[in-house]
Amino acid sequence: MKKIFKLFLICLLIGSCFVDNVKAEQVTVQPKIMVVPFVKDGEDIRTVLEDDADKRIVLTKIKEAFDSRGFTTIDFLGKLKAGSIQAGMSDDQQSDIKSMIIASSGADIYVDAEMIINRSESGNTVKVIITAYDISTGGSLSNKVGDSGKFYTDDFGRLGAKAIESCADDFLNVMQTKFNDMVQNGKSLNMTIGFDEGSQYNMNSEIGDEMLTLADLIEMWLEEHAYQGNFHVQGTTATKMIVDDVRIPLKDSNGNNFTIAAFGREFVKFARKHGLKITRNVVNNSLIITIS
Amino acid sequence: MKHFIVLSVLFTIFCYFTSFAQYQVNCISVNGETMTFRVVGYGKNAKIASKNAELNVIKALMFEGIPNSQQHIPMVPETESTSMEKYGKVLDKFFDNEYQSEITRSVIARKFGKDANKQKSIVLDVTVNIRALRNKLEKIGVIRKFGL
Repeated sequence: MKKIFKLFLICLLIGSCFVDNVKAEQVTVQPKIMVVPFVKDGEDIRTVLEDDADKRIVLTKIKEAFDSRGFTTIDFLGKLKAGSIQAGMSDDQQSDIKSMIIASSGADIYVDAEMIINRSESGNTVKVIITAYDISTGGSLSNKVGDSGKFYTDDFGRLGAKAIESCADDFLNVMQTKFNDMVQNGKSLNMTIGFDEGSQYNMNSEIGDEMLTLADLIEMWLEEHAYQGNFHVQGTTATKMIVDDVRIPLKDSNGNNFTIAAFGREFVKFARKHGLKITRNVVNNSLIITIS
Repeated sequence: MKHFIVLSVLFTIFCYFTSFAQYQVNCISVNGETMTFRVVGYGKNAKIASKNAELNVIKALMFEGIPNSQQHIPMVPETESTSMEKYGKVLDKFFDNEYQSEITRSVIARKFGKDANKQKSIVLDVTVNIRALRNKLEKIGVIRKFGL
């Protein structure tokens, strides 16, 4: 009996250690990241990638850097092929293809990668410029220039890889700093509030008991509902209000992810309270509200 | 007795302000996921000084970042004092001996002895597995995983 009791105590002790470890791990929401190649005007993005193995190596190396931090990225080449097949695009649509893939990939962040090759008699170098953008706001999250250093070699793929290795960690560390800021100050989204063509309302309509304009009421609602009251109105006209940055919390009070749709739901409640009929759409990280 | 109390108070204040001193750490090479640092460690004997040197590297990486290297941003977003308040127990355990598994190599660059300031110190070249260190800090909950 004593032995069983001892065994039970040991198991309990081991179990409690395990629980402690599990508790220590913090849950993180993984934004979807896609690495895309930089293309000049007039270049076909598919040809650039398919003909240039070095660029593919650089892209893969950047993806590897993300993988090393336990991150899975969206494969741009895969999306590109799928997009091309679906839309049957022509070669002169390269810039549109890139934006279209970024928009339709479901990625939250995209990393633009440019590779510059310098040939000289004293050796060849490769420089890479990498910039991470938040797709919803277009804000830059991190940017770095990596340099391979000079080598007597024509293996530009290897030089590209060296250039990436020289800056990848720093690049990811800066991104993490921005992520930490998002955790503290909320994540950013765009909000556009407009009106149906036949709507009887506009931003100057006075509604409610206090007869405040709709624009004022919306701003007051934002003050209350934006995370830590943090929002920025880009501009308001009679027919539209563009809020280019509204911060919403990452988690709700129950610890679940706080989504844009949830933020939209709160706005619906506000609209109903004031007798407004609205429709809402969520595109990427943008909330589009239309008042009927 | 009065002098003793005054001296004790002054000593405590001195200790408080010097406890989070700047670490003498320089990056000397990078090889994939490992980085080698030249670091000075102080102590009354070689063993203590070596341990302090290794801890200096780890703490510098965690709380200050190493200038002119890819790790110039500290791994832990909070300051050392805030972190010690928040994760005291976990960090004490980590600094006690767990940190050693993240150090892949530790070589004496200058033997233990008195330096120009007549302080007993040792200079080591310490190689740290950066990825392993980050993973460890993630696992014990001191830093967040990459992402939001």
